[in-house]
Amino acid sequence: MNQVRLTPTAVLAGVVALLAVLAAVFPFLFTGENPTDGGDTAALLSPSLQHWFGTDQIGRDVFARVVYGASHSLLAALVAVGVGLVVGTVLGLVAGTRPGALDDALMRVVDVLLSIPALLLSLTIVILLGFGTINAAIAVGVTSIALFARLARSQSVSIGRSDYVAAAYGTGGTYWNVLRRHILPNAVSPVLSLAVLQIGSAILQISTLGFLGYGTPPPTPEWGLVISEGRDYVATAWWITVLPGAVIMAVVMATHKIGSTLREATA
Amino acid sequence: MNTSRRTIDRRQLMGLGLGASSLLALSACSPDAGEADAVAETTTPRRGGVLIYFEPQTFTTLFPPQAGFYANGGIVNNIADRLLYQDPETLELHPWIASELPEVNDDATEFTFRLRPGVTYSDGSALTAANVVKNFDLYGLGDKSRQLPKSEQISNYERGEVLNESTVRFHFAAPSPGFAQAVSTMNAGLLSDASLDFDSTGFGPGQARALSASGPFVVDAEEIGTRVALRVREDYDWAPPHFEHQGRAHLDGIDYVVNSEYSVRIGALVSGQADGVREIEAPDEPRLRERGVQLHAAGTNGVDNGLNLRFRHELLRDVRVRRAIISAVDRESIMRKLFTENYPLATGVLAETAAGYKDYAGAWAHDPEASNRLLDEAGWTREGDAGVRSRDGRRLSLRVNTAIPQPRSREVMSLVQQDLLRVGVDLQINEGDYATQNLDSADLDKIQLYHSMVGRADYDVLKSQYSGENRDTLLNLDEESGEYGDPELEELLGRISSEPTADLREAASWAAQDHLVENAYLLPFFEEPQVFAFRERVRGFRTEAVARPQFYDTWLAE
Amino acid sequence: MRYIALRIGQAALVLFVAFTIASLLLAILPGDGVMARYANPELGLSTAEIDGIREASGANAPWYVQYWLSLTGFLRGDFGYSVSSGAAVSDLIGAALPSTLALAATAFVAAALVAVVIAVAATYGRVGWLRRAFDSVPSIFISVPVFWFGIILAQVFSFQLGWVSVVDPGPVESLVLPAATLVLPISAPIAQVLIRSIDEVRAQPFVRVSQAKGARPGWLLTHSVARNAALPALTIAGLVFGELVGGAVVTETVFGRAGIGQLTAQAVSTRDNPVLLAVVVLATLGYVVVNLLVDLLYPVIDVRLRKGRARPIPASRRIGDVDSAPRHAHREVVS
Repeated sequence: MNQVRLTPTAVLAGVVALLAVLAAVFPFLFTGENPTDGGDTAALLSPSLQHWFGTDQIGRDVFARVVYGASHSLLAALVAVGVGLVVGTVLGLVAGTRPGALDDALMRVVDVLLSIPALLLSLTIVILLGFGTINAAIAVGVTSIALFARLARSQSVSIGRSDYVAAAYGTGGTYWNVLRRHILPNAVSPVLSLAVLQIGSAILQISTLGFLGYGTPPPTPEWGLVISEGRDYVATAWWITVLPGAVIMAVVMATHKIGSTLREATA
Repeated sequence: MNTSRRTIDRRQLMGLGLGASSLLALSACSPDAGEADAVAETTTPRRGGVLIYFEPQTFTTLFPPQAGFYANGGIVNNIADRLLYQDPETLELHPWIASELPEVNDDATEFTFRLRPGVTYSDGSALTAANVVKNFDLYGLGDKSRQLPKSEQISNYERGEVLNESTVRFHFAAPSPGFAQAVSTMNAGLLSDASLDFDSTGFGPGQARALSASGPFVVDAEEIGTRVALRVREDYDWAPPHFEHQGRAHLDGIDYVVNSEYSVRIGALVSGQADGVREIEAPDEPRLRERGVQLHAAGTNGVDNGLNLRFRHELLRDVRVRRAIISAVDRESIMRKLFTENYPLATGVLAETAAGYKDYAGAWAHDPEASNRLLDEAGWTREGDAGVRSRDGRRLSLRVNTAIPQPRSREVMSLVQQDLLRVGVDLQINEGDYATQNLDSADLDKIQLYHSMVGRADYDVLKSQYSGENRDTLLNLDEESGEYGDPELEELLGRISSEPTADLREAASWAAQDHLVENAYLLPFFEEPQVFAFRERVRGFRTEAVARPQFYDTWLAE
Repeated sequence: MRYIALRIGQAALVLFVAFTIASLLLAILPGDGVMARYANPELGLSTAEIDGIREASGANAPWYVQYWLSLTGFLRGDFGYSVSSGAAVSDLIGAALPSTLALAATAFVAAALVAVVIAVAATYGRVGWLRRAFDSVPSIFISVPVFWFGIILAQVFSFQLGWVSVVDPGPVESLVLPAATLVLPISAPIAQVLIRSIDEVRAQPFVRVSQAKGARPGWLLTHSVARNAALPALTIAGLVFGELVGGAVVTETVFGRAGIGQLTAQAVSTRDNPVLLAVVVLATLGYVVVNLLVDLLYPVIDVRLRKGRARPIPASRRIGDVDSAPRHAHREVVS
């Protein structure tokens, strides 16, 4: 395993990610405003020292909504990635270590999952499960199962060919034993770095569901919802759309950078 | 049965259809409408040009009884004529395809219309007495086998009768005093024989060009879901006789362009790519005025936009809880934050300009103290001053729909949500598309507070909104047992559409309103207008009585 | 030849399974097209009346009956009728497809060009900071919410600057903004793969040898590097093309374009299962065919592959195995 290369951009990405996590856990450190009740504050105030990101269409502080939204959006992204990671990895490991009919069957299912447009699939699942942040996250997660399954399969295939796995079988290891002891630990690091990379796209996909009206119910300040509710006023109050959009971009870029740095280190 | 029949004059018919209160409210048209009209008066209309008009939603059907949906009515109103014309400002009825106002018998069970000669449909067929009867047999009774529902505006319809080639009579099983007004609405738009044979599919998207009516415009082209093009009928010559403008419409056509993104619609208008837009959100009004865009606000003359408290639900059975919810909401603050003067704060169940309006100002005052007291009394408690109240381990949590066609429903509900949480009531806002909202709204377990409104310039509008036979907004009717949660309400509503005289209908409407208000069944927010915006070059834009656009008089200046 | 037959057989199987999964998913959704259309409180229909309509229209039939009917219908080329409008699904798709194909093709070609420019600048840029700047462009592109970008493009280029009309544009004009919106998420993965391939190829001995022999960078780029880097780029292109349907949902909604995406969004909101089923089959077919073509093109482009191996590994499978980044990137097309 190589060393993680700490370039300035990687450090910056780390700082952004750290801030996002801090905001998710301790939002009150960043703002004293209430994200879901604007009180008597006027609607659509432009950014000022009092309201850094201005106020939204019903007078709530946009910065507070972004800060408090971090926990919802990041949690949703983690759930989405978790679904894909767990289900996909199990499918992939089983397929990769059981060549023949089972492998073929599982990989055809994965092909099918890939071939159905992801958006259509997640919309359908949201309608099926009902509207809500976690349900949207699960729907997005399902669309990434195929991706994890392929990676896990290729990893387990190459590891399975290695001498030490053959040796482990030779010394009387059972299938599950070998899978758990030898294959899983070696396959895990590329899969995990893919998971980090996927966090960013999960955030984007969940916000797309929000845009199409299949996301989080109000007043939850989920990032996609903040943008999607404010987009009607993009010409009169650009700050509701543009500033949270910039925050999303920054966080997604940061997770990408961290993910690719990790992948280079584990490659 | 009373067979003595007399011709009623216009004042008496007005009385039949409408109450004195609406006559007093003649001046209630908006200042913006006045501005636009003034421009129209000063110059001679220019013929020609196609108007590009943006709609937020695509039409779902052009079957006239289902034209209530804004996007449907916007088209039907311009392609189909009616027997009578209702003046949107005075709400008076005028002859149109009927050459004079109808003769009505004393108990309003027979209506006789004389038809104007020489009217043809766009497919070339003639508008005859038999055809008019065929129209109302379908609209008054519906046809289940073709999945065509009857018009909610026509009550007690029995049959139509051709008296001679230019006279028809309609018979009703019980008094149907609202019928004269009902024939004036776009929900009674007249169609050719061939079109009346369509099933529900034939009226749907993709089939619009096949529809044949007698109006000043004809559907010429359709791109499903994105565009409908109407073109002028050159031989149109049967506008309501009292109109100054006769003959073909000024415009060569109207292109209805659908885009669900508000920012795109409004951007297209401001940048001059579109001529008109329906549904302007209040925050944009000042910016549009600055840029010389004309705003046109038209009232929908019906039940006000508001929240209906479904009292059959367990949590809302106690009138104290309903009162507490009503007094927790700060209507004035909501209106100030979200709307402009084009959206008048509701002072009654109905709009001031609606038939049967009664003033209940003060009935829905903001008093969170009272809410807290009432909820405490009703046994809903919480620790301290924050959090959600509960009783016997059950949380006081309710769910409201998102009224997608209504202006800023989500924002209004978000503010109501804030207000209710302050007194310890949890409000969930139902997320979801049209299908989800419609489906959930019919289910008491899913939606307990129902946000809606309905427009119709007749006393019957109250019955349309609340009766178990119609929209049943309060879900008063228990579908399983067939019983009403509040039978008295249903009985009061039934009287509105069956009393034969205007005075009695008004009294019935008032009694029903008293009942709705006293029992804290509803919380009205505002008199819902449709706000349109047009580029400076658009002149002579009008709306019909419930604010659907009418482009017959509209023209484009150089 | 046997290989080709095998691949076609696999493709047909994928298509069939996708159809079955989609049918099952749609069958268990709460509510159906009939409910969506007739349960509107405005119509005032009672539950019993709606039930009658469902019965008459066949919506009450058990799922396996509906599945069998639609499957046999599809095999005969009959896609059925839309529940919400009653129009023939084949008419709806036929009307919507050309505009979506035009959008997809334009966006794809533009994205490929943008990707090449980025990749060349990121690898052959004259100064270090320029190379690094272009190297990070793909990850910026991929972090932009597509719907957000579309709204902002419309505001700036159509409504503020007035360069293109979104209301009544000419056929070419109408493609500019929607295609530009899609370029971002599509060019990014292609550029990423190109950059990596160029780097790898340049590091290989035969390139160094050519360089030592005095080959100019331009010659090298077009001859050795481009041909070798084209393979992975072609693969990712095949994958991305299949996803353009999803991307079309967002752009067509934002720009109010008639097309498959718009049709899909409406069909979802009205639970119009026959339309949705047809869209799924169409999208799957597109994906399968494009990838089949890519697989079959592989040996044609890369002679060494033909020499080295008995038969090529399907590209769609190889890419997931070899490198996860492009796959992950392609999933984001719809965001």
